[in-house]
Amino acid sequence: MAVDRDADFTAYLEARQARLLRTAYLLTGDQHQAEDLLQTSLAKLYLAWDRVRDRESVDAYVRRIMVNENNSLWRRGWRRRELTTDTVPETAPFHDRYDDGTGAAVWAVVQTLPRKARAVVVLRYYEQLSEAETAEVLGISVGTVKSQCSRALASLRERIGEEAR
Amino acid sequence: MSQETFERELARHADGVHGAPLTFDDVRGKARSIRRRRRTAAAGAVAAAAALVVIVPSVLAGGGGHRSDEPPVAPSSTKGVDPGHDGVPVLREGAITYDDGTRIRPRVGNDRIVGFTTLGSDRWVVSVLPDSGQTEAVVIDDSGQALDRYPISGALVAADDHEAVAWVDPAGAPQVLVAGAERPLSLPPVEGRSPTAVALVGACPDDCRVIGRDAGGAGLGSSWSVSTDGDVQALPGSIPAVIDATADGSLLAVIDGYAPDDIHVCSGAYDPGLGDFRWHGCDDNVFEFAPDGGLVATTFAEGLGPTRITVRDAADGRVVGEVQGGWISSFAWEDATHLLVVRVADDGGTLLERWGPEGTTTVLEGPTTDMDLLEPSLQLPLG
Repeated sequence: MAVDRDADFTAYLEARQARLLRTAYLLTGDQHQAEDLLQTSLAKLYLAWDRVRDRESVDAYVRRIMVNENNSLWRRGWRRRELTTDTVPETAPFHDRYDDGTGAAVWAVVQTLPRKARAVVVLRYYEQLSEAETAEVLGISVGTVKSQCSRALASLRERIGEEAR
Repeated sequence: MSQETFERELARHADGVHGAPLTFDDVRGKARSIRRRRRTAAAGAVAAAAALVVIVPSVLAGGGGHRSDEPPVAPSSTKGVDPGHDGVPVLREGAITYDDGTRIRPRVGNDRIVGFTTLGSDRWVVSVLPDSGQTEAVVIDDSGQALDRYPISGALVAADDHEAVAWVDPAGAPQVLVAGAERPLSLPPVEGRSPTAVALVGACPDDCRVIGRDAGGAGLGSSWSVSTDGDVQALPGSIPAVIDATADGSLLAVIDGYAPDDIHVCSGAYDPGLGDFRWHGCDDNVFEFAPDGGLVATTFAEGLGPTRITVRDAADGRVVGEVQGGWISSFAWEDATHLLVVRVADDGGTLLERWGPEGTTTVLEGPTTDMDLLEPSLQLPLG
């Protein structure tokens, strides 16, 4: 029944969109892009809603859509042109908490990671998926997840070390 | 610095993000626009191409992939590779590669290759997507050198014997490039928005036709046929979206409506001689006829792409086999009865497999894994 399907989807939307927006933000590094990414990804999820029979796997499914969609948008290049012609958006949310520099360093490392490695870090450390779950969502090996996380940690240590010197 | 540092600081950074809540209507409205676009794409570029190119998390071999964010690929070191080389080539790491290891790397700079085919025994033709967003057909010689570039509306299609390719130029004029010819033959333009070629049927250049369709209005659009002698025909309104054709044009794969679930489409094999469908159903939106037209591979592709391919008798729609599991990123007919499939398995490994009529599936290559998640590792040629 379409009514049931829509109600089911709406319940998921209301429950999960705030969290998914944050994931989208970490993937894109820009709030406006994150909002667009989330809306597109949820729309694609809606189109496939009947085929996601296992409701326990919906989060994994939408994460996979988001990662792919983000790469696709970026690869097409139009977003880069949009950013150069539009009014410069506010790309970072406001934080009023004290930062001893560690937070800025983490964000700097994340922003400089290749887009695909960044997805590994976001899923592993923000979504707190296991290595196996991260590998499954991204369609890569557990070994690749481990190596990318190690590289990110090494980059962070290097950056913090440089700033301390 | 530890994992906990990352976890804490990423959460802290993301906690400050609060967007305007999306409503169900917001999402459904976006879904409708995506569905309209997909229907156009499914009936045009995607389905017309012999190889599916869908975005899946993929696993690819080695670095040096061909992506727009990377430096240009190095010129090919191979010289004099015969496009008529035995076997079905695959596109791997930006190079057209044969099963004996022979490789030819098209020199297309940073442009992403989205389709490729041999052209007779003298050249290859690749379709590329530059950052400009304007798809182009690039003619490649046996050293990988780009000889000519032509802007394309929609998709590049190849004759089943690979002796000719066709596309529609931005002005709506179908173009046919035949093996041995230096320049494409330009045919009379067609009307309609965003026209695309979907099949090349008959014996080119003397007796062949480009079959195509346009995006139409809000519906499924309309289809047309333009012959190399300049005859332009609108196909019947009862077959609005032709998405493939057998090499002799005796069967057309057609999408003619939306399924009751408003997700899938109604489609089938239409016999122009009969003036009716041979068989019809409401499921799949991608059809690919085998070179001799005896079998047809069908699937429903959207979102992350299909998870199965059904092989049917083209004449009556009877299911003769199925490939399923993982995410299918590309498929192409190897010959009249064998289907090549590139599939990302559930464990993340990419496999190149051959399906045969006896129902068996043989792994030809893989599984391979790598960090390059999002580009298909292997791409099969246009049919």
